[in-house]
Amino acid sequence: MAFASKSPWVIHYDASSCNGCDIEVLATLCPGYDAERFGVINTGNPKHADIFLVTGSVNERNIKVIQEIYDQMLEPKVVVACGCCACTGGVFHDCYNVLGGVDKAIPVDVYAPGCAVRPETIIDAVVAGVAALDEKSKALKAKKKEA
Amino acid sequence: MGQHTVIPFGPQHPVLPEPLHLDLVVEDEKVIEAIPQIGFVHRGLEKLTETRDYNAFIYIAERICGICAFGHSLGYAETVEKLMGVQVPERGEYLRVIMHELSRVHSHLLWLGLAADAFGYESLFMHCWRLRERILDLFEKTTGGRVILSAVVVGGMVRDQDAQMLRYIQDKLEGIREDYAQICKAFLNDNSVRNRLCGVGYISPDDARALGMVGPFGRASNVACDLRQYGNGAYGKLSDFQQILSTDGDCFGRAKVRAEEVLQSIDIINELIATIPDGPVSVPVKGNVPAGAQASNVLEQPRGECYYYALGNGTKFLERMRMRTPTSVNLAGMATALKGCDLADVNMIVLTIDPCISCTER
Amino acid sequence: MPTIERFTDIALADLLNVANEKHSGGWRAVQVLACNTEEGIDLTYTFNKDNVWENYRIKGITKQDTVPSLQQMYLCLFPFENEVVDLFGVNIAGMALDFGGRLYDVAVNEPMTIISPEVKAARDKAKKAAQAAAAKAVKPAAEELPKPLTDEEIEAKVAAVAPEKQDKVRAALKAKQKKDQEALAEAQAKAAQAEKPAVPVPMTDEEIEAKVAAVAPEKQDKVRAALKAKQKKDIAAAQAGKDGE
Repeated sequence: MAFASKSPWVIHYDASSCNGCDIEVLATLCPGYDAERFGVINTGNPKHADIFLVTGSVNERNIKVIQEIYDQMLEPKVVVACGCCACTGGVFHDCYNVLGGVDKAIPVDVYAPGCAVRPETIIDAVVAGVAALDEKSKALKAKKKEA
Repeated sequence: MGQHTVIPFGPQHPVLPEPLHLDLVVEDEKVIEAIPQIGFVHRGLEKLTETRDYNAFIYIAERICGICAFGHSLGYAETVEKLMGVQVPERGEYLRVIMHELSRVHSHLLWLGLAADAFGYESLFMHCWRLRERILDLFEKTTGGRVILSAVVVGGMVRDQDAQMLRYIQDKLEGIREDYAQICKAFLNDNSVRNRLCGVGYISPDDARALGMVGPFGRASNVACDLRQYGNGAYGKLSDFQQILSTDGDCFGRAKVRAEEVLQSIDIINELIATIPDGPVSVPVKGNVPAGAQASNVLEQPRGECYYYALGNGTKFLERMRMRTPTSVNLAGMATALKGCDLADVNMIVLTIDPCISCTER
Repeated sequence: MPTIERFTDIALADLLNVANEKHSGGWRAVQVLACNTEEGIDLTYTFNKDNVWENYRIKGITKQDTVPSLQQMYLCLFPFENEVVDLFGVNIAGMALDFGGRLYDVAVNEPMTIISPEVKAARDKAKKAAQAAAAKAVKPAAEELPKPLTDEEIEAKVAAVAPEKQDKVRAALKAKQKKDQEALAEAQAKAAQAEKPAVPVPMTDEEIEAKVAAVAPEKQDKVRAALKAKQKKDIAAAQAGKDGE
């Protein structure tokens, strides 16, 4: 049984988002939608987190920041791209400073579309992310047993 | 005499909703200087006027910032209407101001929650955002969206709201006002909150004027910069508008100004709903923008004065569209307020300018 | 009282004067914006006091021009001046907070000055359409004028009249013909003139010295250099216009 899925901690980073998706991510953790009843806590430390919620598209300056946070997280980890801009670049896909969605920087496990992404979708995405986390955790354990 | 250390703050930080980088030069625990660095959110969307015509660009203008989304769509539409010489029908103007004031209530409640989180009062943060959910429900009932509303078009509003819906808004706001009184008490009368906010990040009225501070950030240092006093649009139909000023000049003053503006906005909405005239809410706007025509417009958004500029070139595509948001001018004020503060107060001071970095960088 | 927005065009050399005047008058600086045009970059500075927003536009700034920074008086303009340097490639000297072109880390250099081929094609098409419309607007004036009679038509009309009146009628018709021909020639000349673009008149040396004298002593050399460069550019443009005639 994987323990991370019982209480997945999330870290949230805004990469060139308009803030719409960010405040919806925070609203998901607040009493209106209350993701905290699933054991989700918003932490600021990448080494404490299991799920990386990224909002907004990738530009020249923040691609390194996203990669840095991802590298600092420990295995098993899951990335959820929240909002259209994080999935594909959204309505800004043809701007000169936008490189594209988050998958241009790091591998993404769950795509949650919407402009702004709705809290219900974020909860669904976190649940799907938790399932992916379980699988990765099992795979990690199996690899350790072989070694 | 301690030695100087440079501590990098951001762009990823739990208290910051947006990426902002500060290089804090500290000596022991006091900040000597703060050098801001932005650029993490720059998308370059002003260049999109080349590929989106003036009607389609309003969807881009809305998405400059999710918190001030309605304000930007309103300011953009007003600027293009000035450029094309279009007069919006009166009912459309009233609806625009009602929605904009609702947007102001939601934005200030959001800020109050984040400020509470910044000085460690997490349950107050939860209460503020729980109350804010009721405003977002109102948005969803009237326009279909919670954050990005798409309710404004060039020429008026997308849809009308009937009398039943307006009465429903008034009822909900009465309920919000009663619950809000408790939050206000926690912010303004609680001793532990006052200890965290009073005397922190003080800026004198003269400095505030010299630095060109706008919005509640400036009004807390007694700078009379509320643009609603000039009565553009339906703001001119209000019976009496007195901007809220404070002489405190510190974080407590800024919290007080914003907290009181919420109540003022609820009063404005009630007055406008009571006096709204009947009629159409929009006029169709067609044709090319005259070549060489310029227009500029200012709007009092929740964070302060927002300046818009549009230049036409004879086609449906604007030659230049510029939106200058209040946080960009307040950055200089923030850098000044950070000088000489405690390291632990940095996130509080950064939050009291109500930073909207995505607005600044577009 | 509603807000009032005004637009004025000024020269680059006037910028510091205007800024000083506004600063001592208690005006607040609102913003700086740049616009990419074919002649160069247009910079617009905005100042506000009470309910008036004054927009001052400086047209046609090139890479050779140096714009003085206003950050000493108005520190709040630092994000806008740095942005203009980054995105438009304008030279701004003397900034208090200078990010050295790295305010934004843009993927493309000076992106706002780049015009993609599709946009350029669309703009050229629109310009041609506008010129055609303007030419059409002027021509009907020439076409509405009465067409001057030809000599054969005059002789035909004279032959139809009684013999004793023929000389008088011929003289009157010839006078009318001459008048119509002159009016038509004038209208056509005006139409040809309307299609030619206007060329700016270059400043004289006395005008330059007068402007330089109005500026503070430490800035006079810079301002003189900028004005001389502009004068040279205008003379070259006027010469090219004359050669084209």
